[in-house]
Amino acid sequence: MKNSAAGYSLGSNIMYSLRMHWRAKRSTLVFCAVDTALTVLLPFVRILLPKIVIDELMAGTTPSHFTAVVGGAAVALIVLNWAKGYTDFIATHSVGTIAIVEAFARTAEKRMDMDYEALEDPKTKSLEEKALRASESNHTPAHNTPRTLTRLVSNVLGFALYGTVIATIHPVILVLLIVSALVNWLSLSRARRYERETTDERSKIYSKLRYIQESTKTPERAKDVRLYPVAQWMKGLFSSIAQRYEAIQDKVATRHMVAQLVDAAMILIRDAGAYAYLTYLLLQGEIGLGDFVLVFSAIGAFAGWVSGIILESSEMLRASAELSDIRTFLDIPSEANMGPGALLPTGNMLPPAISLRNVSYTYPKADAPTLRKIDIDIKPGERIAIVGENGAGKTTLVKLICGLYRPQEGSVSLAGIDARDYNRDEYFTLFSTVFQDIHLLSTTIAGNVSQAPLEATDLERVVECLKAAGLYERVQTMPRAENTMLVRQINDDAVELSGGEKQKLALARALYKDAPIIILDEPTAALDPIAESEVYKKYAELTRGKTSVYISHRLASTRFCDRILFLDNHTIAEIGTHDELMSLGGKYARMFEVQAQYYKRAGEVEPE
Amino acid sequence: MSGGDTGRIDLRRAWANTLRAIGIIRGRYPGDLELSGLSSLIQTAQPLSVLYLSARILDELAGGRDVRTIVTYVSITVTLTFFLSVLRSVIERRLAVIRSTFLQKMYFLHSEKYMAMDYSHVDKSRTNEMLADIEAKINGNSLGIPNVHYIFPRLVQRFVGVIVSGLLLVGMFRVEGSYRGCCQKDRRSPTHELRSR
Repeated sequence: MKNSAAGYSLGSNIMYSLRMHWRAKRSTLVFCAVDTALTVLLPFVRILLPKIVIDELMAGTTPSHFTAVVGGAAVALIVLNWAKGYTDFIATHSVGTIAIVEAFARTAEKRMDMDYEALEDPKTKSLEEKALRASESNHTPAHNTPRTLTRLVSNVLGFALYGTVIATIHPVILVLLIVSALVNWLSLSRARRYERETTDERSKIYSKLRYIQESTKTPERAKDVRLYPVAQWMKGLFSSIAQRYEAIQDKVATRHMVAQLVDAAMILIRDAGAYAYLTYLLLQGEIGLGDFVLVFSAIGAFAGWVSGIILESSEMLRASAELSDIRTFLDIPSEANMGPGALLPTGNMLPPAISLRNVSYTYPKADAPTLRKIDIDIKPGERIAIVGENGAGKTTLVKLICGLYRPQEGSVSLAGIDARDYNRDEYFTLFSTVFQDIHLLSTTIAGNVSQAPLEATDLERVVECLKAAGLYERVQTMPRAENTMLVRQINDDAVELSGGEKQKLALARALYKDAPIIILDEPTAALDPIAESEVYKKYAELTRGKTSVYISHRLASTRFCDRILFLDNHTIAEIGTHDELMSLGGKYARMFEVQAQYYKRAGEVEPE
Repeated sequence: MSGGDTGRIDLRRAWANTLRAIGIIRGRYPGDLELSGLSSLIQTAQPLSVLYLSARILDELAGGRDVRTIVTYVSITVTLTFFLSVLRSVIERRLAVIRSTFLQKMYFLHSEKYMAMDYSHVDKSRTNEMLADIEAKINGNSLGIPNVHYIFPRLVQRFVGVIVSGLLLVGMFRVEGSYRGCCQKDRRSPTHELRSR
């Protein structure tokens, strides 16, 4: 039985879930197995007890014998009842909890490990949404697979046991009961099919609900939410999307209701028929009253076992579909080389030369490429500035260089070897980066600089890097200097850094990594002019012995680079030193003039 | 926050919190508690009513064996079972719709509070920790306000179960008592009749 959508069979999904629980806590599966046996035994003893009582009464046994037999059965019932309650409690609580913890841990791990390009892909978002829905709570079918399996096996055993009892009266009854159960199965599978067909649509709507509720309670958005009239808008939006979701859910629920109505009709026919036939047999003297009670109870319960098999099979398919959703996300393949790769450049090969040959890149679902036919050789130790208008593809270009994206056409090579031939994680070690969006960890300043736990942090180097980034003086004014905690949402005694301080910290982080290639994407955008000027002055020192790529909108800041690469119309429009580009009189020169006029004194501004 | 801070259960506070949670659920999910309660009521009463009627059928089978009486009891039993099942299916349909957005609406309740509270609270780690704690509890074990939503039907089930079972038990002894009275006068026990055949 394959899940066509994802390619995971029912068997493999069950094994996946069982293995996960076995690894986490073996006793859980032992309790599930014991629970399976008790689920069959307990109800059987319950329906057997009235027969025993009636038979004993009818046989006119002595009070002591009656007490011993019925008392023994009652004690067995009590023990089984207690054992069932206990195993049920342990299994139920353990199963869901293990699965949800495992699912969260694995999903988070996957997000941290998957290709960056895949992480940004809308298809991945959709797969992730399905996986999250399947792991949303410890009540989801996926997380309760061992419990569903327990119930399914119990139902099969119950079917066999009760079927044997009923067959002693008349085998045809068994056939009729199975037929009625099959009718139920058909109506239920129709409902399930519709439910599955609407999964994608419901997932999409549900992800919107989740997005709104999650995004409206983040500290980062709290200011905007208060200063702009967003709250009412969000409430209205949430309400209308919830209504849309409920409208689809209403159709699903209606189909399930029809299935339940069919089931109720089948029970009506079954019970009426059973009463009629067994009463007839009793009145004919073919069965005793004890047998009447036992068989009638068995008929009623037998349908329960058959329905149980159908329901739990259906639930198992549902769980399997959800497990497939989880596994599809977890198994998103890495396009990058995760195995052994080419040897990284060492010794006099550092810093390495970088070559881009005919590189083009188009974002998923984009109509046009963001970069087209990029050709450039960056020499070892060269300082390159990338400039261009918004959306020209500057950040995309550096993401291609540092291996976060892979070009759809052309190649990026490093030290003469195609970047794809290196092991992905080893390749990342060659780059120190500062991107525009800076995310701090809820740890100490030192930990944020080293990106490692305290015991693995070289505090002297942290201090050096903080000094080089121009943040050391500020850190010394904090209560615990480098050991001051960051991110106030998590730590009460944490310090909040300003935008400029965050950028300096990111610069210190990049310096601490000390990789042979340094990439700075607008590293001074949030700095005040004095701090910015300090960075420019120190730039040569900061990047000594490294190849560096510097993105900036401020064209004056690119003058200290060896070459400037001007991106326009998604490709390299101009390339050369500042003086060369100014003499060229092209777009770079025009942009430079436009920016420069605001720095000239009023009297020097030339009318256009 | 004394209860939460000390870890001790202050019953008065717990009761007040429960009432508040019920108020929130009734406001946010109209009909949820009422329908859940009704569904649980049916779920509990259905097997007990069948048990009572089955006892009547058995009594008749063991005693008078009047076919008309047996047919009447059987008809009542199966019709009642069918009617209650249909009623419960209709209720469960509506509940399924309510439950489909239950958690997201509960989380959005936190969003609404978060959007409305003073910025100084948002900026505090304690507020964010509290929110993360509440949502982790809801997410992992359905605790907090959703717990009222989950417990209420079970509570109704237990409550109704105890009352109806008690009534059946008392009724059984009353029937036995009146039976003895009539048995000694004008008829024999159905079991005796059966055994004597």
